[in-house]
Amino acid sequence: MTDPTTIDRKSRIRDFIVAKLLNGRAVGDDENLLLSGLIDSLGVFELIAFLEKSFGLTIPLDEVVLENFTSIDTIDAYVATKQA
Amino acid sequence: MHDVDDHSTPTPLTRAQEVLWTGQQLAPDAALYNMGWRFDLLQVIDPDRFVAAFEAIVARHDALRLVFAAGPDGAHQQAGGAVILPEVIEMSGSADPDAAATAWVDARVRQPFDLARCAYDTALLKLGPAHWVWYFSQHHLATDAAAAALVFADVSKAYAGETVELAPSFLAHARAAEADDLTTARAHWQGAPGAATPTPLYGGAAATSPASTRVDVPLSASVQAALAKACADPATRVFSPQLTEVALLLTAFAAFVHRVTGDERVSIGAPAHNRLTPQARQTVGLFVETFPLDIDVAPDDTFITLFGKVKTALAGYLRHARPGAGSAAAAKRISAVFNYITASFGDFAGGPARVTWLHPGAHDPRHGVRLHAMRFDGAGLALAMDINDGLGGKTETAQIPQHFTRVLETLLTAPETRLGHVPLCAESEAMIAHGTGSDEDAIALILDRIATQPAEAIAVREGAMHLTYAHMRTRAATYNARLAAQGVTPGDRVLVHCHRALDLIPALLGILSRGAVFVPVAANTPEARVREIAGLASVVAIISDARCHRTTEPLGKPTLTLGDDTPIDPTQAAERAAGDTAYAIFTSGSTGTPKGVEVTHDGLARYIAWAAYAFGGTEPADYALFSSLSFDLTLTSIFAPLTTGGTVVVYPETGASDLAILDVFADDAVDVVKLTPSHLSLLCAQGTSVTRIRTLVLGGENLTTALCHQAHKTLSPSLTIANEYGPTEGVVGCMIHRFDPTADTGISVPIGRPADGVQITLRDAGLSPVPFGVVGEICIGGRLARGYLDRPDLTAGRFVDDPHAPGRIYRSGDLGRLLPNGVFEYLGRADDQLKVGGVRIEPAEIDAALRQVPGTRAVHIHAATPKAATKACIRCGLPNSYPGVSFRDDGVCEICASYDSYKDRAQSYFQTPQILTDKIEAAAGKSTGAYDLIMLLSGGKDSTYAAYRVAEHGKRVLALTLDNGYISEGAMGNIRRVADDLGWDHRFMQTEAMNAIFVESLKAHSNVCQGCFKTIYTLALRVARDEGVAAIVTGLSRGQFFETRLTPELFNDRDPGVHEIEHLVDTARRQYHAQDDAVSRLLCADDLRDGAVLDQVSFIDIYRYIDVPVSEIYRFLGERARWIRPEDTGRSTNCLINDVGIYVHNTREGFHNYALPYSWDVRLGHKTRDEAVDELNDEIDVDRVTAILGEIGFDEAVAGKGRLVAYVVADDGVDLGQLWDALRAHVVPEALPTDIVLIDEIPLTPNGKVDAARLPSPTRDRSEARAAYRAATTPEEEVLTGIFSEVLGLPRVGVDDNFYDIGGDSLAAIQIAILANEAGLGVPATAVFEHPTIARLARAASEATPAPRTPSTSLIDLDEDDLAGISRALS
Repeated sequence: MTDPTTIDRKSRIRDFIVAKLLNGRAVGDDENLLLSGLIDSLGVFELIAFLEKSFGLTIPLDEVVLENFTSIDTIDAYVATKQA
Repeated sequence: MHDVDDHSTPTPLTRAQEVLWTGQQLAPDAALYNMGWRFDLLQVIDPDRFVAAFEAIVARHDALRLVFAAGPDGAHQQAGGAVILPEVIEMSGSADPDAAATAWVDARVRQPFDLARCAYDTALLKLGPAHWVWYFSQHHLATDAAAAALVFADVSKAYAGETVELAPSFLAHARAAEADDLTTARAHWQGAPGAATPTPLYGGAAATSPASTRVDVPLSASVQAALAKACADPATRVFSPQLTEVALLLTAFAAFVHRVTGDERVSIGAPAHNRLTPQARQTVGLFVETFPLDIDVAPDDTFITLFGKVKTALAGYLRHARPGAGSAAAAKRISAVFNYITASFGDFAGGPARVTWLHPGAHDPRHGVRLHAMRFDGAGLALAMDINDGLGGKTETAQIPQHFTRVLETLLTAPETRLGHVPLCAESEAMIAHGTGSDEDAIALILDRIATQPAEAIAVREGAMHLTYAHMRTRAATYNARLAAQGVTPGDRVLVHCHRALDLIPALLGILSRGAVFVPVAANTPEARVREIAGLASVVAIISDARCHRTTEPLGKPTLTLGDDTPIDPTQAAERAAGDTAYAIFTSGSTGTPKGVEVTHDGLARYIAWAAYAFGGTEPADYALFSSLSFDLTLTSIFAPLTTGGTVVVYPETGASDLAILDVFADDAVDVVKLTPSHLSLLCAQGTSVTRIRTLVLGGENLTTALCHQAHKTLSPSLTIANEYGPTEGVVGCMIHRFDPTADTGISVPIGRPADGVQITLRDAGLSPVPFGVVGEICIGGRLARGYLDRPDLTAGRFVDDPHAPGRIYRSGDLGRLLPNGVFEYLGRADDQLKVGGVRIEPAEIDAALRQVPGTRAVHIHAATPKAATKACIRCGLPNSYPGVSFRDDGVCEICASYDSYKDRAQSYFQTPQILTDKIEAAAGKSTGAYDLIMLLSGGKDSTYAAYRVAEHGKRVLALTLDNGYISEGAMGNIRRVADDLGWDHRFMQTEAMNAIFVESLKAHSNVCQGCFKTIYTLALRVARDEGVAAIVTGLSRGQFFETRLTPELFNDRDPGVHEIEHLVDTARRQYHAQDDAVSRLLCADDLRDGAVLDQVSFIDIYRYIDVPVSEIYRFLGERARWIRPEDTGRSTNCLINDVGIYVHNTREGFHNYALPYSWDVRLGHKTRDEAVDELNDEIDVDRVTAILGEIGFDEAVAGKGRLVAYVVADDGVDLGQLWDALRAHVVPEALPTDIVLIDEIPLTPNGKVDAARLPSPTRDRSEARAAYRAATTPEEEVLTGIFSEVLGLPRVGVDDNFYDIGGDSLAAIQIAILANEAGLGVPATAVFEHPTIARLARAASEATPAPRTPSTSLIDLDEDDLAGISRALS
């Protein structure tokens, strides 16, 4: 995908995660953020707050599931479905 | 990474630290925040190397060198603490080194820290060559579990010789904290709907001591397996495995807290680790902050429904658990804590190590129980509980962990179980309380016992007449013969409807001798009810007296007359079996239909055998028979003396309202009196002291300790007061407690322990016994009534087989609780329980008080939630969320509509500028000091414009402004400039109590303005008085006149005229200052209470005399005055705290506190509708509001106060004023409903329950108009005015003044009634409750038909309802 909005979206998600949750630690887009312990539940909800604010979403609780928040790729894909 | 210069700089505490600091200040000597660890190092340790490693680590973490001190701007911290190195303690020589180490660390961890010197403690204990214990403890202010793991890891690395990286600075974190925008998060915690005050766990009095004990919570293999299964179950999976485990445990814990408090909203504190970044994860220090999880829990919830609620609460929690977002209000609603700790300690320098978290023997006393779920080092889940030592005795608290695990296990293995049915106790049998004595030998029937008493002893006495036992037995046999002659056979029912008399006793014994059943109905029972009972009981004969014949004759049954002396041969007593019915007493069912309770000979005999000994001992005791024959309480006074050779002393009825109890005490001729608390209240009010009467047995109502103390004081200090509990179905009485003045410290006297032969249990909805401290239904086993007469359906519902033990139990419908000292406490009827904010309140009081108002037909008490506005008046913009205002079909509100009709009449109140000039001149002439006038200058547009108009008069003016601490900079500037421009002296008035006043005002009125106004008027009046100024000029707007003075009711079909309005205003002002409310107490305003100052100082409301359009005010201020519209506040104010009032009012009351004022601005043309609506919709800065609430010390949850509405169905002519009077007379202010609504009928659902959805919205009128002073005009009024003045100690009382508003209380009411009766006005003692003004009381007195009086009994005139009323009023 080379759609510029996609690139923009994913990089914004990545920037937030790296800057706010990982304190600058580099992370691969497909790296597992949760099972590796990089981000925990509190971090996920901080991320959710960021996604809701930045992309104008409302994320219902029943969509806060492991599958949607495993990695930067899955988060980006999830946001894309919410925006569609 | 950290800057060394920071060390000496005092740094403010973080929000999380402030909470702990405050908690520690409250218990300075308690080690409640000590976080201590025992690390067992199972290896050879080189102590020197260890100490060196530790020293190196202390240097790396500023949190380890933190010291704390209080400062002028709050506590602060800096990194300058002493470095303590581990002392090496040799214990290997001890017989049991491990035990010695345990004792040592347990003692050491309980020692409080000197926070100004060092906030950690450490030591190295040698237990053996290869077993060392490293003890390390920190004050929680400087650490949390994750921090401890960091220190452990660092010391381990340093000891192993590895390089330890420099750690991030905690102080840097503390300074950077709260940089985030916390608005939303704070609103979530502040606004989360919390209960006012959570019920303490296990009914413990709110604990005062922090002492607590940590106990392990063992998890059986089956529970562990069930938990693991639920964690893996997709149906209960929440996001991550760890969060799933948290959610499951929390669900069980919420259910547990619900069950052991009864609260239907529980707030469980859960610490959030708050280490959101890798950097934070490397920092030693306190990051954890505790937030409440607010969860609604209903008894009908199942694990599945509750789990759903917990998930939602968790999501809200995780979203808003931001460092620094907590608040005092959020912390206050937490009554239990759930702490999920994961920390990895690992090995020590490559060698094996084991970690133990030590309990310092104390924790925050607000938290009855803290549940810790620990996963250290990836080990299995371990649970522990810290239990406040005040919750119960050691035996009781030791059971608490099992209560939790029972809930957990049931939820996991039987997820469909409703929470109310989850058994808490493993051993049901153990929870049954048995009466201590045996009543086996009581089986001897009552007549047999009476037969053995000495023949010549006096059995019954009435005045000068008496019967010996021999006489009595003979007369009983003649009644038996007469009944037989009338065809009465064993098992037949005989109605006894007569007055109390000597011969009543043999008559009752005669019925029993016949083997028949007596059905007693008191003489003063309404005819219809007598007929109904006779019908329900299918009586075959009647015993009556001459005065009752009128009622019994139409029943057409054979009737014996009491005292009939026609000769007849006595008949031998019939054979009776223990299981035969002896009597049937009719009680009022909840539906109003009487139901007969059948009691057997066996039941009666066993009760009397116990009671006679319990109340009178083994010696013959005399009892007074004075109470209603319809009431089973009376049976004690009849049968107990007769089984011990004592005397029944009969006191006949004293008139329609039966006051024989007064004669009993005037006589003082018996040993034991059994009476109701209402009787006792009356006696205490009369104050007759006694010497012979030694035992009082109280029954039939809740008994308060206050009343017992009063009885000791006024009647006799040596009285034994026995509180007997028992429904008619439990045969008169089945529990007893002897009042102990020192030990019984609660509001109510406990109901004690079971009687002989009785078993008492408290049961949950599933009839499982509940443990100590938990509220349950009182269930009675053992000696019970047979059931309801001819009502097997009712009997089956209440008398049930005990599912947990052999035998039958009676479900009383009463709630009780077992106190830790083994006695039971009575908590009212289960049907009457009501919760506001999830916490139980007692609506029975409100209900009962309202029902006493004559004409009240039905009452329903309802907890209401405000309804959101759906429309606004098309003219003035008043939203329909404003209570009590209806709207016409065309969308115009009632106020606008009625204003149209009366605005011309209201104009008479407004006067000319010439009159203003006259008033100012007159005041100047009267003033004696340096100033002619005082001007209240708020700095707003109205008062500024007013100031310029006052200045035109060229007087010496002192301008006064209340500096409430929140005046905006802009307004301050205006005030100074204007005073300067006008050349006036200006002063800021201040009071140290300002913040407390704000808090009280918010609590009482949900706004800040009321508190401010009272402060301004109070302080300004003092200045005027002290400096001889005769008038105070205010800038009250015309809108405010209409809102508060020229109200629609005043003009309803009449024209009050200027003098009446002025008089009303003056009276209102006097009462305003006479009022003894929280704010006036904070201002020590006693000096103004008598109103004398208002005779010296008058108020001039300038806008009464000048009418200026708002546009003109702005034009004038813009051109002439040096006034700049403030931009740093909301639109309509100069005051930064105003938004706090708006926010609290909106949240608590459901509407804007400016809704009505603005609507008046619109009506008067000072605002457009759009402007008003716009301002009402202004966004409030919740973050700032929260901050200010914290500053002023507001300590309630904003949304915490529920709205309680009383719905009343009443006859025409009953008005709200009367209902409020009755409530104020009988209900403490905190328990008053927020509203009373008069309705035509209470709507019901098809199931016959109240249909809450169809109850109308509350109208809002708690402060009905205050009356003007009016002097007495009739002789009755004059007499009563004198009595009121004397009793209340007031120089002047108006005939329309409300008794309660001028400081009256219940005792004063009774005193007034007594004095009024002495003065020849025949009024009942409760008359003042019903007619709380002199005018109404005088009218009631003149309407009352004076009854013939005898000195001993007619001091006051009471009936049963009055008695109940007095009792409640005094309790």
